[in-house]
Amino acid sequence: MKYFFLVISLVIISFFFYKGLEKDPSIIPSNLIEKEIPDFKLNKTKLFPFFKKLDLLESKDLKIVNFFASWCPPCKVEHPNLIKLSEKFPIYGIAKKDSDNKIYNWLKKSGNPFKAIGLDNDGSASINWGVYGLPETFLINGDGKILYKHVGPITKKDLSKIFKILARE
Amino acid sequence: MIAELGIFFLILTLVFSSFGFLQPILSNISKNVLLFSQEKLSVLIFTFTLLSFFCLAYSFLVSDFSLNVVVNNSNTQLPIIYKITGVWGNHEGSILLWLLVMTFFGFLFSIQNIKNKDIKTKTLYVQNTLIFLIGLFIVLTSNPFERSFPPEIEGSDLNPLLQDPGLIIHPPLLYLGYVGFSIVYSISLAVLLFKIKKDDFVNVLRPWVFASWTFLTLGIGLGSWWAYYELGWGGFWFWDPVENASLLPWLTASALLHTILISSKRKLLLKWTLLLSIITFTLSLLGTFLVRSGVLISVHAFANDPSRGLFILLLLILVTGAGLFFYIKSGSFFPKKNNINLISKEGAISLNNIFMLTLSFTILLGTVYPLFSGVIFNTKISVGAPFFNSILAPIIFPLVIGMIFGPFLKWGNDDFFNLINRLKILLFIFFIVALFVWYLNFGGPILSIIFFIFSSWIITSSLFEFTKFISLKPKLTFKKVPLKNLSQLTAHIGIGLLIIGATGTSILKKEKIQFQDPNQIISISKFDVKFMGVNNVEGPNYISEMGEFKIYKKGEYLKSLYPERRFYNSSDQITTEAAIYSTIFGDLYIAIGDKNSLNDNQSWTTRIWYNPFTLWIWIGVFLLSLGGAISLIKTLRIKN
Repeated sequence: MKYFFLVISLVIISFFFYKGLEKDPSIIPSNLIEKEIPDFKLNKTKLFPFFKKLDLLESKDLKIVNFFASWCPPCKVEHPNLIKLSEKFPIYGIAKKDSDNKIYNWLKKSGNPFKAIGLDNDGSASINWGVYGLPETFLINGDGKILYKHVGPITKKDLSKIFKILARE
Repeated sequence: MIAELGIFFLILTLVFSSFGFLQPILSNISKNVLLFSQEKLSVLIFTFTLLSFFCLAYSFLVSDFSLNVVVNNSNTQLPIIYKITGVWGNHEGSILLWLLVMTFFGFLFSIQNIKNKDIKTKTLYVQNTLIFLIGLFIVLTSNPFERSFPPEIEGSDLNPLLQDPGLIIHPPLLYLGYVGFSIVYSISLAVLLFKIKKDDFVNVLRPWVFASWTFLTLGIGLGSWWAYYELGWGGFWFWDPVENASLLPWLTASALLHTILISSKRKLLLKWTLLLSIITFTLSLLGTFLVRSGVLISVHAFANDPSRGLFILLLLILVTGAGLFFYIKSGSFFPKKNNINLISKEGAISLNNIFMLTLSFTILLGTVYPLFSGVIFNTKISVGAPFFNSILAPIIFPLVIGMIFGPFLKWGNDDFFNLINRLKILLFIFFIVALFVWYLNFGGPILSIIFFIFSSWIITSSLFEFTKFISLKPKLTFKKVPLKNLSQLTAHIGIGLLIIGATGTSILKKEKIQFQDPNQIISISKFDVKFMGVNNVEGPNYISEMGEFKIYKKGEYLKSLYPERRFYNSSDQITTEAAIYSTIFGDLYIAIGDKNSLNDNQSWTTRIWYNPFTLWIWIGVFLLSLGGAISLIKTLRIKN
């Protein structure tokens, strides 16, 4: 009888731990999903077209907002995939704590997927969008509502997922 | 080449530990199959693990970027000391360190002079089996010598948070504690498994319990110190799952530490001692599972890999299952004569055990609850500091009362009124102390006053007992003071100081967060903090925004503090380096945040804390481990 309790309790506990292994605790759904894009204020770059919140609201297409920086290695990882995305959808880039020159040098070398770029020098736009690491990507529909938030670099696997979400709209 | 050598040594470790594990079977087949005894095997296993570890350390030192683990956790610009600590700043390397410590303890045990040879070989049998399992884990799921192809030119840098002096020795010390309990487990399981002659084992167990506990205490203390000045959050304990994981075995080990006094002195609670030993190591492994498998979210971001998690889970079940199975099976092997009076030293220690375990399992529940709720209800919840703080207070009080009066109780049977009578003077002193603390802390929250009174009672009662003991023996010189009294004195005073520090830092801390303009003065507690501006400073592998603050007290200039925000280019991480002005009464703690770009006059976010008595925490932890170390010396002396 004692052994029975031992075995049962071990089995139950390990079941929970085993199930827990399948879950990723780092996935926390964004509060912004299904809501209109938040307010934000960006600084202009000298060399690239600029955009404001109004631009995102006025264009009635599906669009993508990507938070990036030239100093962020994972951003370089996702760059080729961003370029693929940019062939079908406009991508608006928000560069966090970055400088004109560095962005220019990088994009000249590896291609520019962005329709327009704004600088988030003080990080306030990132706070409003709930961005806590780079890169992060938001999919936005024609009404200016956020459909999906992707944390971390967009891999090939993520790319097909993103295309699927955008195709549904 | 060196990496191949490393994996070769690792495999040798695996082979020889499997010899240890299979020896009883092999020696049944033929008497001459194995020339190695468990003792010799332990020496060999330790040597090969050490060599393997050196190979990995060498690869880090010469920045061999053909190894995955080096590419991901090192960089050519990294200062040499952090190249070395990078060895255990990642999953693979730290598990190798875990194995090294485990084999080291096996080695130490094998060369220890133990009269009972039976207990020695059988303990080593269990230990070598454990080593075999961990070795298998490394080779199958976490091989540190895995090549990356094609080789990289530059590594992606060690996590900047880990590039810190506190982190150089924190992991090794913590592991000496955690893994030290493996030998405690091995001894206990050997006793249960092979039904070794009754109470002999307590004296074998004792030094290992004290040693592991001392290292664990130091390790946790260092980790907390690091979190205090490196994370820039102004606190020293955040109830993070990883912190809790280290606290759980510490609590049960503290219970074990006290129980072992009863079992060696009065030959009581022998089986309970064994159970506590098993639970303690189980909790160490559980901590490893929680931390390494990534089932819980934590500030310690380790790489998640479900296959690793699964292996540790299996290991955990095996170790726990085996321990508890043989514990139940041993049944009536030990005499049941546990009549313990409540009013006696054993009674006090038993109560201590009950509360320590209650605390431990409540914290365990809080730590794993998010996991359970995720599995059952599929909801995300977080159990944070408010839960832990609210359960801590009611359990701490009985523990503290036990600590105050326990040492004065007699073994066997004592009388309550007799005790009161003996402690008349002390009770009077308590009254004076309480009034004094009340007066000093005028205006503080009631909870902090209660904590301060209790902690000063711990300190006064410890000192009182000690002076009373000394005064009974007028000819006693300092060198001849029994170590038992000395260790209890230091450890209990350490706890007293720790509670004072923790109370001050958590309940009484003052916090000011604001945009501060250059030359603006913020007043906090008795200090005036003047912001002088921010300079850009270049470090070896980072660029830092370094703020300058001048500290004044009553108009008099004291010191300048330079908190930093470091930008590590190679890994795009930002770390906060708080600047702290420590005094015995409290720490002035400054961290800087972002520049305020909304207005043009260069103001910055500054966070300024005044943390009363924080220094006392570190002194307390030091005294606690000193107490442990004194006990260890004492038990080793008895042996010789």
